[in-house]
Amino acid sequence: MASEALRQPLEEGEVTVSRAMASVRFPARFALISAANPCPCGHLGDSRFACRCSRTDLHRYASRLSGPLLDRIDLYVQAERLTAEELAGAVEAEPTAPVRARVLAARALQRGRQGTENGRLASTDLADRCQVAPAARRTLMTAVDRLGLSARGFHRALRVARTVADLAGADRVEDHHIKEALGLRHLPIIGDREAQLV
Amino acid sequence: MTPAGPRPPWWVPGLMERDVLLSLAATPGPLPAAVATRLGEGQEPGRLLRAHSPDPGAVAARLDALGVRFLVPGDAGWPLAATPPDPPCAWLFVTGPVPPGPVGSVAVVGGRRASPLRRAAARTLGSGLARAGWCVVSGGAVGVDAAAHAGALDAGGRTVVVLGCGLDVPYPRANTGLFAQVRAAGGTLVSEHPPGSRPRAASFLPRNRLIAALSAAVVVIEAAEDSGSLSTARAAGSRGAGRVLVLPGAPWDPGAAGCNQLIRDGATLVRSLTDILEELGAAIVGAGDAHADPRSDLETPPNPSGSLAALQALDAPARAVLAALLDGQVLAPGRLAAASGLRPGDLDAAVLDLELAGLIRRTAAGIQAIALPPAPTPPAPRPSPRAVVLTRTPPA
Repeated sequence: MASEALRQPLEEGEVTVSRAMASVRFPARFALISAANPCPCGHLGDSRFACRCSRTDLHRYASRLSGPLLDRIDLYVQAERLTAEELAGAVEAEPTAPVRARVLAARALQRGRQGTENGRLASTDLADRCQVAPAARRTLMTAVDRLGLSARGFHRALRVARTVADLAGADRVEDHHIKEALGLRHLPIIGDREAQLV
Repeated sequence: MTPAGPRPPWWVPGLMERDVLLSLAATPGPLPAAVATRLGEGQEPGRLLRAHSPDPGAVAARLDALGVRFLVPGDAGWPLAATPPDPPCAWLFVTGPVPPGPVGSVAVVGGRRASPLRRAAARTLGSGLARAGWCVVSGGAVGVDAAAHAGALDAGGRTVVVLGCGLDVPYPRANTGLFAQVRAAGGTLVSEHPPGSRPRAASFLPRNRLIAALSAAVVVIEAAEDSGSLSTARAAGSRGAGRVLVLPGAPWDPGAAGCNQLIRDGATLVRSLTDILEELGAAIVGAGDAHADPRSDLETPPNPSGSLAALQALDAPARAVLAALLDGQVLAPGRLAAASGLRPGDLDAAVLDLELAGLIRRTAAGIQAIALPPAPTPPAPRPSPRAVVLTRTPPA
């Protein structure tokens, strides 16, 4: 599966191409933005139309994206059906200019603190730089326990929480920053309609 | 009497009626309920035999090998003597001890696709009924049936599984492990169908009348419109008032459509294990048999492990989120925000708190409730002043 080839560059920011004579490394730092339907028919979770996929359809669909790949994606957003008002643009949304200003400010804050952006910070430096409130740390540990967060998921959640705190201009990662970050983590986004029986 | 129609080759005049019934039961063809109806109309069992009816000796040997017993009305322990189902039941195949019947059993029923919250309720009530000494009766399907059995097993209780196929047929496959646990815990598998009978859609509706007949009352956890749970409830309701106990739901909850209809038709609304035990107590006293009741020494009903009262123990945002999900709805985050009236940041925190507490889960379809918060524990007894003095650390 081609998507699996993204795992190394996503993790290391470069690709290695090995041939008989030589092994060459190319820079490959990028932001992966991808979209998927929740199921083959596209209506799983839709408030208007019933999903008509069978359980087998869902399993087959979900199995096309590997767990390790999904685990490397930091932010998940569930896109819901828009109302007629939203479609017509009648609902006021925040313009992108102030959002851009917030992002630039947060990046400047990160470079000032640690010389680089949070995304480029090594996992080993992360714990030193994060300044996590005790309550936030407890929440994170509980999440590892209850939600089965992987080691990678743990570090990614911490990194996202640091960024959430930076966007809010907070010095310390507070409990609600961690909770927001965990809310953005890997969703069982496809192919999971029902809880385990019993 | 001269036999009419073709006789099987093993036929001899003066055969025991029980043997004839055994052959009839093992004859492939019309549903057991249909045969039982004709027997009930006074037809002679021998007349219903056909040329290909199997030899009772061979059938008995097969049952022995499978560890299955054959019970007919009049046998010691025939569990349907007090509550003959309609259409009548001519025989039962049984693995395990004979079911206690309506004196000691309660049915817990609902659909295969019941919401996680209603399945959790089935499990909780199954446990509570078992702790109160009741044998839980249900079908063998996934969903509410399986949850009710699992709950009773959690509490160390025994259960009766009423199947719509042969007792040796592993259906549904997902529950074969559960059936083994039921047997290991001293429970029973029951069916009208001879070993080897495949599950057929036509077998499940008649099966429901047996679930009702084997129980003092039927607790309906979930019932969609035109569901099998409704047929079980109606079979129980035909025996009189107080036999159908129903968990209600909101008018827009599809899993409650049948429940609410039953209540409107006169069934008893129950909100908790306490309500159910109260109704069962009344039913037993009403039967004039309170002294023989093994549960009359029951002190206080155990707390249900989940309760709406415990919602009050949650903080306000979490309560708002859970309250919006209690109707069995699956809401995407945007709709949940609208339903709970929370700001995005508060919603995230409340959803995560509930997720960490194991009360909700996120799915591709949205967020759904899977359990109620545990019942509040009574406050710990205040330590006596003396104990406080003894445990106080000396001043530095």
